[in-house]
Amino acid sequence: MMIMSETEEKRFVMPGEEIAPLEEYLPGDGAYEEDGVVYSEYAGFLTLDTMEKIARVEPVKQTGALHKGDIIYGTITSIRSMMAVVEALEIEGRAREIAGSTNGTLHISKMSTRYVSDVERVFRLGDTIRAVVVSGTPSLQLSTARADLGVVLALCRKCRKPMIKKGKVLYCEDCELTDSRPVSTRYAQYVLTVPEK
Amino acid sequence: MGGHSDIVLIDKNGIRLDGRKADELRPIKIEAGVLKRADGSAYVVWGNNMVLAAVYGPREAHPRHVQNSNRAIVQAKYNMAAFSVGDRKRPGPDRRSVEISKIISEALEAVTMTELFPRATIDVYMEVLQANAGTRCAAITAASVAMADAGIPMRGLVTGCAAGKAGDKVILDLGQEEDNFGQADVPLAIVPRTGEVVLLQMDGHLTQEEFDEAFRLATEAAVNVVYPLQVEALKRKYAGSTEDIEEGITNGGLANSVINETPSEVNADEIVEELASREEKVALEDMDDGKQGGEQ
Repeated sequence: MMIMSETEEKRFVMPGEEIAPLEEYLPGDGAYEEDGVVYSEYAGFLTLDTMEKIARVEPVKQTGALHKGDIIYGTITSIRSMMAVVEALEIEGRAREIAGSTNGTLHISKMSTRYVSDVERVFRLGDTIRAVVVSGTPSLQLSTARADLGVVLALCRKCRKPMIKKGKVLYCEDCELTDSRPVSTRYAQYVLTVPEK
Repeated sequence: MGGHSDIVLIDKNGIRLDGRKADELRPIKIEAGVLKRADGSAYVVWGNNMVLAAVYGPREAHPRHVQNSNRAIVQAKYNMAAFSVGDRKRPGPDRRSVEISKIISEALEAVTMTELFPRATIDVYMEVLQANAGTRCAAITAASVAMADAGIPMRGLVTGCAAGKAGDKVILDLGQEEDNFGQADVPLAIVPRTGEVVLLQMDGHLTQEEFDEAFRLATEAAVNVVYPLQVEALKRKYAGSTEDIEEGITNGGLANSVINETPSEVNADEIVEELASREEKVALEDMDDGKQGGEQ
């Protein structure tokens, strides 16, 4: 029988509380090492991974730091030949302001599951998008290459009013103008202010 | 300090105006996570001081020129409510609160892992709702719990405590009258795990020996009494502590009965008698005048 990674009962630790000597455990997420001793960096729950020999601390609350896999909402602030610049506004499911720079880049190769010949065929200035974080450090890199990612709100290029999805195309009710662009399966289904828990 | 009066701060038995001994703290109550809209918060009642602390961030620092491209900055703001002192305090920052904000920012920045959040700011707001000497120590104690409550990575908590000299004796945790008519006040903040001093000030005059004694009193009280209360507050909020916390009251004494309205079982009658005898000695007008001086 294969032994699963064993973990001890979770203990509540304080910032700076001693966890173990470095010989016993390596500092994982939420832990740091100083002079051969592993300490907690959060008030939170300690998990000692006895198989991997790693000590991790889960903080009582997550900060607004962006990590790989986090989903964010943002607006397109600039369009270049090979990329779009996105201003990240909110983190999905986390009622915290984004820590650090909110300026993200979305490269043309990560915009869609299909080939994109021109950025303007996918994104326009002022679009609100739902994107996944590819990396949070040293700079924010995003991707929308997934059906549920991409444009969640587009503005009419004539009157700048939000467009509605009509069949496969975007439609402005005022100008009777259409725009055919790939959008997220969650078009118009988003809440910009994270609801309180 | 500076004020002169005939007030007897310590009687012949070594008992202070509020019934404490020289090395006794006022009762302290700490609560974590009291505000819903802030990222982290804490409330500290320290004798008759009441301080509320709220933490926001880490978030993008504005204006841009205050950003540090390598690390986060900690921007603490200490503010006294208009109703926090006897006479209405004119609202807004003054020289004193700007100074306290600066030193508390530096003290908190010393323990925060700022290198994890480049270009960000961690904003800490401390509101003194009621002041009764020692508000900066209460404020930094609250701020540190609020930061832990916000999930901000730190190398340790910061604990504040003051000592000083009044009635020619080195005493712990000066009260309002002791602060106004005493000879020295030494507020400090330490990191209990390492003993590192992150804030140290002194007002008044002490000899080297007196300073060492004041420093020892304040450090020991911070490590042995105040720090466990900070830990307890966080545990109570998040780990469903089973320990009997009973509002986190430290030790008995007169101030205890003032705050709780439930006299401590110790010697409530004795204290009442003693107060009556003291009232003859202490001219009440003097005390009233003293209160208007505010802290320090």
